[in-house]
Amino acid sequence: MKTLALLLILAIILETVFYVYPFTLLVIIMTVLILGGNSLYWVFIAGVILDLVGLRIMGGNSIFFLLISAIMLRYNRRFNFNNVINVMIFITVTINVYSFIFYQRMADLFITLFLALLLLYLLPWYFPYLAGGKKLKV
Amino acid sequence: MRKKFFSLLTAAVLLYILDYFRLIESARLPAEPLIVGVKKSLYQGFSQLKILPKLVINYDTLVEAVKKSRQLTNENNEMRMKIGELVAENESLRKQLGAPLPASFRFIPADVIAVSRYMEIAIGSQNGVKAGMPVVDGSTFIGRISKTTDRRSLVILLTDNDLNVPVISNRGTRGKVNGQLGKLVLLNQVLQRDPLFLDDIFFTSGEEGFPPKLLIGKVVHIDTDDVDVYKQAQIAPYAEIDLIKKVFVLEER
Repeated sequence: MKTLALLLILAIILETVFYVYPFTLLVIIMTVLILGGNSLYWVFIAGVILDLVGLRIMGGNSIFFLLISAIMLRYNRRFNFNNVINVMIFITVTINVYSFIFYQRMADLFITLFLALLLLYLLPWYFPYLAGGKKLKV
Repeated sequence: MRKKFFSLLTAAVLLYILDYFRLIESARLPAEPLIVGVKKSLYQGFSQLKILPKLVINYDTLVEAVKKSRQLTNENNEMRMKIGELVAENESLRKQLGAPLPASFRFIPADVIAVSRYMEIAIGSQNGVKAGMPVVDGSTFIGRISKTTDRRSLVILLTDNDLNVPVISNRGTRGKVNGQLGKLVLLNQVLQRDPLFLDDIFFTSGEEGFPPKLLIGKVVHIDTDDVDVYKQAQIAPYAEIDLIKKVFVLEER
């Protein structure tokens, strides 16, 4: 859990200080994939912290993150998140929608694919006990 | 799980509404010093790294620049002496002519603490910063304050498509620049009959609340079609947003 918290903090810092890219959303998607329904509090809190640090209207990011989480949890069978290709397509679409709404630009595809692949294989390695028992896993 | 989701979503919506109407502004305050401190140290600390790729690419140019710099330092010392004499002469002439002092603005210095879509600076309403104030780096236009809290402010940058700035060129051609969220900005609303050439320099025209004669950038590409009412051009801004550590907010006295 500490690793996840650190990853979220790192993503928030990168997004609000250095580079216009939805790093936090990427980590949120991974969190939902790993923790499933238990990730909702993480999602909400990460959204609030991102708004607070980024000087945006509080709650905006939480709403978006929660809706994405709900879609992932509700339609995980239809999307078939066990397939890496499906996860990558979902991530790319979501990241671009978010980028367009919040930053009015499309996200860098190369960064999206690289980070998504990295996290997809990194997180289950960190949380094998969690990833093993959940419905949503890669 | 459904109950948990809806309660969190309700909380988020409630939070959004309350913050939209600025009812929980005070809730942000306790976290502000910590956020400003962390962001400032991170941004200022890592900003040196941003120069590294440029240093490597331009190594030869830099060596020449160092030589030139030494030569210029000597010339600079001579110039300083001359300036001292000229300033004294200028002051006495002003007195003689009774000319008014140049219209001035109060410059409020600010440390840059983050650059994402917006630039974030470490001063806020308690320093007298208000939404709409222009932000400059020397005589180069950076952007305009879009939001403030007690200790922080967001600057909407020249490169943002939410900002329209009326400009005028060194040839007197008028137009408006609008960001494209990239490195270049778009110059539009230039009449077909007005002269527009590559490398023309554009300044703020002083309309719509922007101070006049602030540097915007130079024309790098012209897009003209005789059928259209207006000409368009791409302008490369002079402001190097990623490398700026300190800016000034202009307050009209």
